[in-house]
Amino acid sequence: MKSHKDKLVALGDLEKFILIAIINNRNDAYGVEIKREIKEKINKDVSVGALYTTLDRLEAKGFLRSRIGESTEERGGRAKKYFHVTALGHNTLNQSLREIAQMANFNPIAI
Amino acid sequence: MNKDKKNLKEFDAATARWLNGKRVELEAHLAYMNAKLDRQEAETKRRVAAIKAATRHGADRLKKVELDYDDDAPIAPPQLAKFIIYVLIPRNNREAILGDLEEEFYETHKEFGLLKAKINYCVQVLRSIWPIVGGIITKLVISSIKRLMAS
Repeated sequence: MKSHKDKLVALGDLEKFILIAIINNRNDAYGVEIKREIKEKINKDVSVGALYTTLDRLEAKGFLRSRIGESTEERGGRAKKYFHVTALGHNTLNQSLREIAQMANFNPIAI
Repeated sequence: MNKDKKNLKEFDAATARWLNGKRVELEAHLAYMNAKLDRQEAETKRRVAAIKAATRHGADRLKKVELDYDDDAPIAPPQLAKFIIYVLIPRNNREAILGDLEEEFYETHKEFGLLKAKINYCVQVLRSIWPIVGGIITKLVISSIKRLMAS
């Protein structure tokens, strides 16, 4: 029988970028912050639709949890939705990065 | 007497020839002047059309600039784009997505002006349509497959 570790789901590129962007933002970020982080670090402009579809998928897989945050005037009084990476999300991301490191002959400890 | 008559006839004939020559000359000059006037009229028309086009272009540009710097213009995202995204997005993410788009709209407005903020908002909406629709379709397909497997 396969262990839980072996059954870890493969992550897509955008999923990895989003998880890393949230972790970089003290593991608590909302849509605009995630988009900005991805744009600043790797110069990729993710559309809001693609971002939230991926965030939903990650949440459904159990890699993320969300909470409703404060609303501000410049958002037209609309509440922010904050996301944080769960332990399962951390493990899956680490596993995924380790696999890439092993394939590329990097030192996985460095990652 | 006969000699006088002959001289008179010759004088008449010479005058007639001279007049005829002058008439031909004048007709040629008239034709030349008409052609010149036609050319000048065509050139004037072309110039007037060019000036009108330049004025229209200038007015359009001025309108755009005024829109960008008009303090009285309503600073709000384009309503149609807002409606499209409102209809498409699932209810659980509606507040967050609309809020994020609006926050980005005001940030762009501060940096680049109203026109660019509106264009950016529309581009964001257009780029978001397929991922959202694709996500909904995927969810529907997965749930129907699960239902089929269960039955």
